[in-house]
Amino acid sequence: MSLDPEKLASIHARLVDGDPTASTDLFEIVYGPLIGHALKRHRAFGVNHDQAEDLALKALADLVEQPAQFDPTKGGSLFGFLCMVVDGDAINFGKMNKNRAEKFSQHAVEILEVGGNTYEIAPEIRIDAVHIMEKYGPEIIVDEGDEKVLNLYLQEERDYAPYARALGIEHLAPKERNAEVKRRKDRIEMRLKRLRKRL
Amino acid sequence: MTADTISTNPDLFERAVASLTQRPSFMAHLLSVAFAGDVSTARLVAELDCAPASAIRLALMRVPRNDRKMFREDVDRISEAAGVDRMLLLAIIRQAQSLIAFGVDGSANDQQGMLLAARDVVQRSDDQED
Repeated sequence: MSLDPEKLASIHARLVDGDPTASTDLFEIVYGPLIGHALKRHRAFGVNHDQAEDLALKALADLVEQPAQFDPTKGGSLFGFLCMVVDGDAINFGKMNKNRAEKFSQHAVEILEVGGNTYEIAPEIRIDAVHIMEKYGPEIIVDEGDEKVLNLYLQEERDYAPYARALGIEHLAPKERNAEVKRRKDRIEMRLKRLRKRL
Repeated sequence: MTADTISTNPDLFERAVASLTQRPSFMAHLLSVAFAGDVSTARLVAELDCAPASAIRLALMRVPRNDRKMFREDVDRISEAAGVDRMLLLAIIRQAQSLIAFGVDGSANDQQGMLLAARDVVQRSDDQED
């Protein structure tokens, strides 16, 4: 299957111009072939189909958001550039997997039962979470209620009602209640971001 | 690849849409906010009143730019390319931006500019229709 370089160049120019519809055309033409490239080059090193899709999607989405990262004047095709990006990410992914396997090969996977369902908690997640809370907990959980807010936040709870219940502020007027929930969520998020930058 | 790739591989592109809900610069994210996280093709088709491939195409597009003039042009372009009613699209974008402005999806409030642009475009459209 051949990819028309002129067509891709035209789409790239539209991305640079800020045409919001260009990304769809890019995905339609390139997504499948880019997944194919990822599998062809990296399946032998452990990349499966889902991961190949993730790699291809990331490369395309990053390009859509920052089209200037590809400079057509330097020669080379847009598809070649995207393949290079996928290759780089796949290699990093492979290194991470190798490190993870070596580091955690001695630890068992923990099975968690919640409401009749079972979940596997990979050892690295459990160990990392315990390690992070032991070392950095006091920086994240400062005020009363922060621990409950953090738990809800990490579960990606979007509804404000559980937060309000956790903070004991259900009695407040809706506007005040929502403002307080947002304030507490924003503080937790800010502390996590600061911590992430340091680590 | 031909232009109907999405029609022949809908599952692949539906998964892409689901992943792109995490990227605020894509329409998939706005649609996810507007429809409470449900960006299944069935939901998009019902809400946007369009064909399945058109719904997926829309979700893969970028969100309109914040600048008021560009916002109007981008909405026109998106609605035309996806075959979706312009006023319906505008209403959905406005709904999503309102939710984002009130912190429902936890993203930063630099979407406020788009909210103002959306309100401005809708008000002007209403005036023109009188």
